[in-house]
Amino acid sequence: MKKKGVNVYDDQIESYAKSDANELESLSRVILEEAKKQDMPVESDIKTLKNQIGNDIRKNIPPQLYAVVSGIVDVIGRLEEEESSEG
Amino acid sequence: MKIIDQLFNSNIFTNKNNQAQSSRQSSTSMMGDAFSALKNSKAPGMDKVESMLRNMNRPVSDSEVSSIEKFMSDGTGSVDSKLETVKWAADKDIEMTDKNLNAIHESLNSEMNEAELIETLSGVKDSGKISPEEIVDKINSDPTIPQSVKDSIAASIEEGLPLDKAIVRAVKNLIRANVEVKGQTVFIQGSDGNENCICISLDDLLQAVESAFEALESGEGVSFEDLLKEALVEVLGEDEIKNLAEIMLSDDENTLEDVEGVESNENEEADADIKAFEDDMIERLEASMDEVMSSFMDNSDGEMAAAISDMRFKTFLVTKITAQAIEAKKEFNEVKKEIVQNLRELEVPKTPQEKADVKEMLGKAIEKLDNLLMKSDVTLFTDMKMERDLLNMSSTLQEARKLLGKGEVNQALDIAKNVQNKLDQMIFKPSEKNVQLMAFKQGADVLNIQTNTVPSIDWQDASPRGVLELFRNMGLNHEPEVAEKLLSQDKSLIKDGDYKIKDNLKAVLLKLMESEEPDQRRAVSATEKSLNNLTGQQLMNKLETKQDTQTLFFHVPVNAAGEVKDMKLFVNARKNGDSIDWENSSLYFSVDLKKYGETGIHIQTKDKLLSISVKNDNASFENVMKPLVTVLQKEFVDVGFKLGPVNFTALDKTKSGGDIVKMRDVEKPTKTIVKPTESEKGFDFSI
Repeated sequence: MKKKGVNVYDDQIESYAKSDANELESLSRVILEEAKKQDMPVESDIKTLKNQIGNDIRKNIPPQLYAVVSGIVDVIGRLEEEESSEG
Repeated sequence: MKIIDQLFNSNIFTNKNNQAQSSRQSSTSMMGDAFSALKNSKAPGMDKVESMLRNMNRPVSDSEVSSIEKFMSDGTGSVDSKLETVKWAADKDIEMTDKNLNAIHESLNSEMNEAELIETLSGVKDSGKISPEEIVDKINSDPTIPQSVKDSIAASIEEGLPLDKAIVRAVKNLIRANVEVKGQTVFIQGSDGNENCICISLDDLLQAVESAFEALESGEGVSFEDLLKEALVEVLGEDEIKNLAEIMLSDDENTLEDVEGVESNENEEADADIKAFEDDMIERLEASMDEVMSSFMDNSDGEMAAAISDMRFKTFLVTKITAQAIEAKKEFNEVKKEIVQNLRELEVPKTPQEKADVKEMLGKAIEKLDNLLMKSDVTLFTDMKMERDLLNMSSTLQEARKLLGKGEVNQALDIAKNVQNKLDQMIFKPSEKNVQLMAFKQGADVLNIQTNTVPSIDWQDASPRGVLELFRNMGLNHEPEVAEKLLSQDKSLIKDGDYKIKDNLKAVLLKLMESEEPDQRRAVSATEKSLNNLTGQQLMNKLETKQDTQTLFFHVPVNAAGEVKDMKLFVNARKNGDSIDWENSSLYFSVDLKKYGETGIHIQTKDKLLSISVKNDNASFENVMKPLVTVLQKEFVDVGFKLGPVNFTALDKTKSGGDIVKMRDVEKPTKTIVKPTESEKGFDFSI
């Protein structure tokens, strides 16, 4: 039950993403208007916004790749700490 | 060098090449005019733009021609760096508007400058805030609000109370609860001695009043009082409905019913389990709260100290985090039960249809695990071990699905059953550190402390989910999440607890841009620069539907040794359905280390075989790095990769320029094997 709302979004975005650029632009207009109504700050240039709304990095990038990044962050941190502890 | 040769011979890159060529052939006839317009321009480098776009088969419109022209003449940096920007836009099929080109360019050529950002944020800290004056005006002019409330505001103002506090008093009258302000924190409690107390920051309370007015104005037809309650739930999160209903006894029948209906469905055993978990959580939280409280105290003034030392503040935090942990546990248990059940029913498929069903089931299980990892609160609470185990299960089920496709049915079922057993034994347990961190964040929110307005990832807390949260805190996922919120029919179905749109850097900067006060012009241009940097990253992270190979770019601000390092990350990967393919991808990290200098780390996976190539010129670096790489390899194997080779080489110093150029130089040895046409497509790190 909890996920229903999310699916509505997923379906809409997915169908729009597959459709042509004009439809994506009209969806962006709807979102921009609605966001203004609700006082949510959001990218206001349609030609920019339409490239952003369908690009959810929680879905587009698999968790395995986040694991690679977090591993490297850890290594970089260790290298920096080692440097500073040696003075 | 051999490894890289091999990797660049892999079909990731050859595919890309074929794809580029085939699309070029498909529509050559379309262009002509637009390209000549580029060539006729006098702006520097336009001939190069023309030949590049022509080779990429990317026709341009008239307005694009003028934007490119403007960008090539006025943009900062070398012609080559600007060409690079145009190339990204073309590759991603992004309109070349002034804004898009500038954003990509800023992102590629600037650091995420922490000091600059802090200055920007502190200089205009108060703008974009809700104006108490406006709210008072609205209260006074609204006919549906009782006169007694208006009188109380007038009286408060006469007493010399600040406007925001006067509004709090009005709210108190409206919702008939016990409302008290200490510092920036509002305590809302039932007036009949009920112990439940909700804490909310003054800003958030004003925000709720403001949105209630907006709802009233848009004619939602209910009383202001009800709208205010709804707005409070919106700000506080769904888990406070019950508390709020108990506090505001006047209409508990509406709200309470919903909540109890959901909760009574659990069976007794599960109830007992949750109860035990709750007791344990409360006990652990009580024990670890001292540390959280004292870190608040260290950064507080007198007024805030009064709020912190109010016992209700601590109780509120303990209750709130416990409730969140319980929700996460329930969600985990639900997903676990479902997946285990499905895997248990797995049998050797006898018909093609049955085989397709099994594949679909595995696909759903993978999706559920990935959602748990990326979207639920579960991985905000769990320790690293459990997060990696869950990741490993997702990877293993993907392997099972692949084996099934190859006809190796028994092996596929074996490993799927293995996941079933492991998951069945897994118990959700929040880590001490994460629980404290969440209590700290929640507390800071309520106390209205601006913690960490500049997002970075603390290397000691680095986890896969932590990296995602960093990107979200930067606002790289802001627009998709706003869209998700707005397009969802029922707002209550979207969870509020883990992410507040107002909290991410991009949203804060957008707000700042809206309040264009003339004396803040300098700050505005700095804000614009930072915003462009974030927008540029968003544009470059867009998955381009028409291409098999995807290139992405991120800034990863890493917090280490008391400083924030801007690490840059290029990703080059195949597309796999809606997402990129982790089994065949290439990640380049570039960072300038204090002692060891410029460092490039290249992680390449091919069919999950992960190779690591480290580039650095410091003589002692290899010895220092080797043991770290060994640990890293183990971590990667834990989440589903296979061990590949590691090599260390020097950076190529023959070219000068920014890190990006240097990063690409890392791949220089491969240049000879790359066909010249490939460079037209760009971003393959082989240029």
